[in-house]
Amino acid sequence: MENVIMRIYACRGRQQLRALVSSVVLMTVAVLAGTLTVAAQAPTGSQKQAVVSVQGMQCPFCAYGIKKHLAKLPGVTRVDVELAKNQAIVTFAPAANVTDAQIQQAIRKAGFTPGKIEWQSVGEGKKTTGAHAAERRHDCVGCEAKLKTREA
Amino acid sequence: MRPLTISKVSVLVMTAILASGSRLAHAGPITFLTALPVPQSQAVVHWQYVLVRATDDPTPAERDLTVNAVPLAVAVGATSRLAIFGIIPIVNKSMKVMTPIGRMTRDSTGLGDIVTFARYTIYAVDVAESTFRVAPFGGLKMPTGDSDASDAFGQLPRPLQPGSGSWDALGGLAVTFQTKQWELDADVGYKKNAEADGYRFGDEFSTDLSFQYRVWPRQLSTGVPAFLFAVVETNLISQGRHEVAGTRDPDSGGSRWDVDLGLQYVTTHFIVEGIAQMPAVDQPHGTGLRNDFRLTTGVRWNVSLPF
Repeated sequence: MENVIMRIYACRGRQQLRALVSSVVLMTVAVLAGTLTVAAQAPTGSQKQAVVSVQGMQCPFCAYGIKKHLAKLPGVTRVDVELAKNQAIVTFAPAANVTDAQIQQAIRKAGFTPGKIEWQSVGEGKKTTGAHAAERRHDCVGCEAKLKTREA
Repeated sequence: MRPLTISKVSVLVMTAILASGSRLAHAGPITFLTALPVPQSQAVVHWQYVLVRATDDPTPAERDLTVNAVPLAVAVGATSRLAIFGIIPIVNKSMKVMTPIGRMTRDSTGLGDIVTFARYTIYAVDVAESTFRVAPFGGLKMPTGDSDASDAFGQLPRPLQPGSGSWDALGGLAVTFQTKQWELDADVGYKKNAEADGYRFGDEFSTDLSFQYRVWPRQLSTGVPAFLFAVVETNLISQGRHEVAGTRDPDSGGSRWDVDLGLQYVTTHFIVEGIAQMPAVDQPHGTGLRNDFRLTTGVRWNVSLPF
């Protein structure tokens, strides 16, 4: 009699274990599928931004040529210049395919020397360009002044 | 009383106007050329108004000269290093002089001599906080202005004509060091004047220095703020004597050293500027007329070209 009861319990335990394993596998697949879906959609919804160091740019009149030549690059949606930081911040449409060499050539055509280029993504709805990008990092001259005023 | 010869006008006044086109800058200094770049496929349009007064006459003729000039200059960036310049001047020259029959005025107005030249950047060092440029330039002054204009008293003397009548070559070197706070420009130039219709203006040598200091804004904000520069410039011009039918005119040519004070407001799209040039030393040959002052105002625009 005891043997019969033991077999019944063992059988129920295996069924529960199978059910548990099945549930875990299903949940893992669902999470992975969800994650992969989100990862595939992210680039299509975000803009790319190139922060370009421009060597030799010293006056407002010179900034004009730099903005115009960068604006001619394919897929550019916005160009901002930070004169104090010797930077041009170029925002591209998500589908744009621009190389560092093209950006460097645009700076040279404006008569100046290109420096380091840093790429960053800007999420849709969180477009942050130019002066505002610097403001978010709180490292631009204007923000420093604002922060000092607030602190005072 | 010394015979009154209206032709003995200060050549330095005249040549300053004739040469004003070639001395136009596209950025930086107000009275001469800079070495800063003109971007490829872009142009800088520079319009100026120049007023010259010269009344310091050592003779009893009491000569009184007024020159109004409106040069329009266009600088086009052929490549990032090569810029082509063209200058079209409209000039009005008016001279009052005492004669035995009373005071008379002779004047001329019209298109002056068009100047075209090229400037090539041979050396450039760009770093984060400065740029240093060296750019030689060379070109031609074409005889587009009238050189045989007449008024009620007959044909005007050559220095009062809107044009010189000759093809002249010019060349020089411009050097610029620029930071965001200040800028230093210098140039040296020479203009070889040719003979036309038996008259040859003396060759001209010039050298200039300009210092511009940003007085506003005191601290740079975000983006591209407009700048206001206080400008101090100095110009040294020396000209040889003219030749009339192969004979040198003793009352022509000479040397002048000007000291200039001005202001320049610089934005991304345009520049507005003004400067007063006062002669610190003025040594015309013979009885040449001395300059009182020279005023220059101007506007420059950045223009994007479709090619």
